[in-house]
Amino acid sequence: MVFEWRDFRLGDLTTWSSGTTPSKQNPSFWGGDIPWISGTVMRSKNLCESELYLTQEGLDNKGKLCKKNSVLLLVRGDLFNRIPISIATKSLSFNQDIKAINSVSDDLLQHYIYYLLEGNKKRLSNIVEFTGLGAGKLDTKLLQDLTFKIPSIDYQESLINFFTSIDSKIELINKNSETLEALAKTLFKSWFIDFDPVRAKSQGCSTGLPNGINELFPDSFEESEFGDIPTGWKLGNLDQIALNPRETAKPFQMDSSYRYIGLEHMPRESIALSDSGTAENLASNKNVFKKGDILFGKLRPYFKKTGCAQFDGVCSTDIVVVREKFKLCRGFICFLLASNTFIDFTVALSSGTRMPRTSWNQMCEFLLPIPQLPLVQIFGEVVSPILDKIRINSDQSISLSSVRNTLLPKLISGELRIPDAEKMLEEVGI
Amino acid sequence: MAVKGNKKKETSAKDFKAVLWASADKLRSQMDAAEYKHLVLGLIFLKYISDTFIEQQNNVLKMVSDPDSDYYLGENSSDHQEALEDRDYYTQENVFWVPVEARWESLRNQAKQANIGQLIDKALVVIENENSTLRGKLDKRFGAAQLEPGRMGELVDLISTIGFGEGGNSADVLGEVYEYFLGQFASKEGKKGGQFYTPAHVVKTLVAVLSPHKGRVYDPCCGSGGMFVQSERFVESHGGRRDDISIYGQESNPTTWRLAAMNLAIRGFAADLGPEPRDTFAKDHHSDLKFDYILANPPFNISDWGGEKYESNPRWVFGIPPVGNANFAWLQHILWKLRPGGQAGVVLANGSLSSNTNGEGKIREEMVRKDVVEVIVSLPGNLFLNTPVPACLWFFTQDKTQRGRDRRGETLFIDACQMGKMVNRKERVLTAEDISKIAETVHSWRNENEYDDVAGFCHNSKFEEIEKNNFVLTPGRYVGAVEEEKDSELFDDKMKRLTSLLKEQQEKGMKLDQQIAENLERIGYGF
Repeated sequence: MVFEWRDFRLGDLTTWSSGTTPSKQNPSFWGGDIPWISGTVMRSKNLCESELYLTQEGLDNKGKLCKKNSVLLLVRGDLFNRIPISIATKSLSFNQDIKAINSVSDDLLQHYIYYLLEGNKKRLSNIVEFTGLGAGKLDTKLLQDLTFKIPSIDYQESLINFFTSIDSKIELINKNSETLEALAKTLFKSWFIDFDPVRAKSQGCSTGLPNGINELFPDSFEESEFGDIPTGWKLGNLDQIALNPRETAKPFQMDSSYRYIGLEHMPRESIALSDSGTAENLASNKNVFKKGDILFGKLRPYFKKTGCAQFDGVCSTDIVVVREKFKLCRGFICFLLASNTFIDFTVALSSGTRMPRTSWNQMCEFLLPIPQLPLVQIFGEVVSPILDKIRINSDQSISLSSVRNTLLPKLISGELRIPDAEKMLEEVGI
Repeated sequence: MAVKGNKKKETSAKDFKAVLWASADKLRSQMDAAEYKHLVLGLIFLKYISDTFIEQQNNVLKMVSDPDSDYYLGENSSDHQEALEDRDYYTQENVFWVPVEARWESLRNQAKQANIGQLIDKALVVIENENSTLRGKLDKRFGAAQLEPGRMGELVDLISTIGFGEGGNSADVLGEVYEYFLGQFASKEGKKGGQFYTPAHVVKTLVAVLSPHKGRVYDPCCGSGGMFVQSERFVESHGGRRDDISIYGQESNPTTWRLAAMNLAIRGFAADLGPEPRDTFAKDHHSDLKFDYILANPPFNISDWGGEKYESNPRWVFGIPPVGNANFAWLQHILWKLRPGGQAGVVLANGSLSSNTNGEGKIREEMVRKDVVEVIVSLPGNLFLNTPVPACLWFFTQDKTQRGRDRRGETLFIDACQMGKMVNRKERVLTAEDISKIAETVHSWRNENEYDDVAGFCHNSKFEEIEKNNFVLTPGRYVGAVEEEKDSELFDDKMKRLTSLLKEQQEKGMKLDQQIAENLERIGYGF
């Protein structure tokens, strides 16, 4: 090594504190605005939100706050599959299974702790122990006893910047997908749920749309059992433009070359479908889908799991496969199934209290004014590159994450120097 | 060439067992697997003793009618027939005596009758009456079985096909089928199956490390007797003889105890499983014996083992085990039953390595201080049907100067958490390579020939190191981290692949961005 890396015992440079859980029986402690973090919500690097929030009263009652920029590490839970590490981007509360770690030494930058732990995940997973209940735990003393080679403050700074740039890029890409999705959803709602262009034309205003598209919208409404709907649009349902192929594969018909999508691979409230497993060892029947099919999670539909398949494969039978009947209808179907109006309808109809499920038949009970095919197809054309871009984005964030996770251990251990790594990335202009 | 032929035979045997299993399972229809198990295994056993009897009968006939044999009885066939009914010919060969009405052939001829269940029960009763060693060990539940009409007969026909035309080794085939079915039933029963069956690959790991070859083998909670079957197999495959080891066991569950008795009988092992099923803590059936090899897979973390009743028991050499968990009671019972110089291997829940509740930590410390812990192996998860909880193997000996170099004050830790392969979504299996890697590591450590610590896999610990770790025996603490991939070539390749992928994605992304912009412009929302 050209520059000085010194051995430090982690516990000598940091302070550790555990969180708490104020009584869940007391409603006045919960539902405030102080995020309360548990292992389940530690799914990203930066944390400032949660699914549960404490009130000030809850915080005063045994709640615990960590400082802004604390590094949070889950030390009890399902640590065999993943060891969540995050940074609190603001002061927040957290439970007893999580340690908040802060630097108390001039030799260690606070932010560097995060990358230090991330880059040494292998070492951490080697000291995970079993508790009696099948969960894992990380012993605080063992963690604090770990010694690491740590570089100078300047070099720590450079490493933080290096990785933050990759992390920010990943974040930016994900934000870009969110924006694009919101944009397409907005357009869908405006055209097909609020009928804005029809309304504009009926009031003699401009729709702002080019002629080719403008003339596809009628300029008046007619009455229906549903209230006013654009003239000429027929009240109908999903199966006029889509079908449910109902093709199943038996366990012995699938091998590892099949890709498999389960509910666990589908993100909530996002149409990006990039994650998948393999069909090896699947023990039960699965639904077959083709590239371009829309997948709709029918179990607990309020999880809003709609996505557009980017490859052929098989999926869980808790996922309804929806296929377009005519070309270019895909976009319309996708954003219809992702629209809140549609989701709310299926939630209301779905049966079962603990594990409500909807079905293709129920989905087809949803009535909507269906425009003439050319308009449906125009919409499909407009959103088609958006769907593609969202897919490319998720692929890209996966590759960026692999780059980051491949480089991290090498750079954190000093095996690879930043200039070398930068050169690698510069070649592709990251 | 010969090897190739062998392999082929092996797979076909396996296929045949699988086909048989599928057919048997089909006949089960609505019946509970736990109940059905006793019918199927009972029939296999019945066919086995009948087949071995007939085989011996043919041997006797050959002997008495062969002029060159010492047993030659002349040419009169009625003399021959009389000889066939002479029991001495059978008992001297350890073959059970099966009266005419209980022979498989006569049952099979009546398989289509409505009362076939009762007939089978009757056959079992006469067999028990004629063979004292089987008394009380056969489950007579065929008459009362709730199988659909006609199914019992179909089952009899199905079992008839086993060992048929195998050319004189039908007994071996039946033994294999019995074992295979035990495993399959254990899978079927899932959670409950683990109570009578330890997966064969886990047993093989214990056996491979202990390598029993001579003396007394004991299992204080023997389930259906898998430990014994694998031990005998080990002895035989290493050139030993069946009677080089003698088998002692105990089991508290009556139906499981019967399964074990049949399982051992079908293999032709003489075994002492005690006069009746009994809880080992309540009454030790072999209280006057100590053993050379003890293999056990006690039920994990049993809370209602009656610990309060045994607090003053002399067995608790290392400390009184907590009333709420039997783990350390089993371990101490096993140590108590070891002969000086004997060895034990125990499968137990991982918690036993690190728990500090109710004085368990103290007991563990005492075991380390008295230097009886020889090897600890942590196993991967999903090995057991009844629990996803990972388990570990404890190996004990009271004399670390035997079977190799002087290892006093040393303990070997092996971390096998990463081993094994998933055979389906629920079950992981240790492969033959995994098992021999573990066993070879232990043997080379004992003999100091070419043993080296391997980071992330095995580590030889001195007492001081264990003391420093507060007597927690989790191998992960000692074996350290896996050596990082030193192959920079690999890393380079990966980076090249990823960066070119990124480049491609960015280019595509840019094209799409442009298209999106154009489309938005088209509908009146240009940037």
